[in-house]
Amino acid sequence: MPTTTKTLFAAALASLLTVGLCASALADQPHRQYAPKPEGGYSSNPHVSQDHTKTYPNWTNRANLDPERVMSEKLQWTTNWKFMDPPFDDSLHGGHLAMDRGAELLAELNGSDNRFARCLGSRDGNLKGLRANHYPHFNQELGKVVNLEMMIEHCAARQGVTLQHGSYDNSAVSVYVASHSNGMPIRIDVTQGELKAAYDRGQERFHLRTGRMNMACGTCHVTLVGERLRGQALTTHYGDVAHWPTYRTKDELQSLHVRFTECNRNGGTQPLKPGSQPYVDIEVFLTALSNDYPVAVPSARD
Amino acid sequence: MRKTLFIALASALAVSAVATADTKLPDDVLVNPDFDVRTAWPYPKANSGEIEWRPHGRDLTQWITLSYEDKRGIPEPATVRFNGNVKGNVERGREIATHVRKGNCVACHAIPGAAQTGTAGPSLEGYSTRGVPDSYVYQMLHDPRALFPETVMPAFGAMNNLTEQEIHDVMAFLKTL
Ligand code: HEC
Ligand code: HEC
Repeated sequence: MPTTTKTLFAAALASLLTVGLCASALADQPHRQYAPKPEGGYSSNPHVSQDHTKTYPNWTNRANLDPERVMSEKLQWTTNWKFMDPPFDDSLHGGHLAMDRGAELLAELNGSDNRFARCLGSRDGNLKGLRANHYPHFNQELGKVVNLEMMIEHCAARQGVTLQHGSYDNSAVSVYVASHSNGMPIRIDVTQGELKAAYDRGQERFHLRTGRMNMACGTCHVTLVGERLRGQALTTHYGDVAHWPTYRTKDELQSLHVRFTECNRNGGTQPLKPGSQPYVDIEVFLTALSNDYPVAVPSARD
Repeated sequence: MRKTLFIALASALAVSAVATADTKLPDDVLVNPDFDVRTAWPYPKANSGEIEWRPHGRDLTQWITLSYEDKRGIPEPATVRFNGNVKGNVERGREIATHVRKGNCVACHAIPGAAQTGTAGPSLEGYSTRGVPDSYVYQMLHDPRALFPETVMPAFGAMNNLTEQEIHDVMAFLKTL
């Protein structure tokens, strides 16, 4: 923020004169504000390399991150926190414990006929690729777009087992399932059908300003990217879904939607339930922005 | 009475531990009508298939959410006139400016004496020496969008985020910087 007070004050006076002119013409619509999209907007066929912050070259390959950049207080944000993913970070943490528990839970639920894995969409019980290119998708039977954690809850409930979306055990199973996609690129097609509709809605939700601080997801992750909020540097939302659920170093195994509730609260917005449609739509949007970025779990984040 | 009923209901249907009592609120918001502060968040307690719902530090239900059912809007940008003098309490102002659940100015602005401040807005160090009129500061705190249409700074007054008295307290505090 190099602008001095004097210039701010003068610019402010000039814009005062124009405010009167832009009063809403749609008197019956509630007034809403949007955070600006990145320059050039979003592609209808997104790819992780389209990252608006142009930091993608720094975190393209997690094995080859520049250690100096990772240690640099000023430039660390340009690594998009990928230094906390395997293989760059192979230290043992709570995410590994979760993965082991997930394996046990899944084996129990599978029984002798792989029924749980098949309910999640696996043909022969093999979990390969489910995280990377099967979710989120439109589920005909349920009539809506679902993510992996919603299906884990759904398939467990069919056997009378409670695995609430956002709970530790649900995320533990999800991390274990995701581990079978390690190294595989994320791939969802948002160019047509229900996923396209969800992608478009997710984009709109991501930029809608809400809550007591009048902030959008995009206020922090687009407008303020690279700045610090309360000391924490803000990073791009491209490539963000490839390491979830993640182990937060405050000792909390977090699903992506639980992270959304936390980001909502940090921005002063009343959070929604995990699995709510706006969160699913935002997940579709963010997943498309991770297209071709490889899955890496178990990961950690501060 | 209501409480026992609610608990009975909650144990019958684990998921309904988070329900909306206020019919005007969208169905998909995370509130627990049984909490003093209704805004809830999901804590994934270890080795459990159930979420532990915890109260947030502030009730956020009066502001618009991301729910598609939420038809509320926000006030249009408006100019305000400042009359008279700043009648605020410096210490209260400091508390509001530095507290996360209140003004949280430090999230974006460097303020002397505060740790872990942000860089999204200009530093407020030495602000009182810059000769900025009270009316300008008041407008910024009430509704900065009238001056900067795309600003990220919240409209503290216009959006019922800080009371008139709290705005005066913060203004009094800024005069000490
Ligand atoms: C008040 C600022 C703020 C707002 C508003 C905000 N976030 Fe965040 N978000 C952060 C910070 C700070 C982090 C941690 C640093 C980072 O990864 O950028 C973060 C991290 C994340 C992450 C994890 C990134 C990772 O590498 O693991 C995701 C995903 C995310 N935010 C999504 C969202 C979504 C979706 C919304 C809107 C519902 C949102 N955020 C709103 C500040 C914000
Ligand atoms: C989300 C970030 C954010 C928060 C929170 C915030 N501000 Fe600001 N503030 C800004 C930005 C950005 C500007 C510069 C205006 C612009 O370009 O949008 C600004 C400008 C100002 C100015 C005018 C500065 C000048 O140089 O003339 C004052 C005074 C101010 N803010 C005070 C406060 C106070 C007091 C609070 C807390 C009650 C606060 N701000 C909270 C982002 C924020």
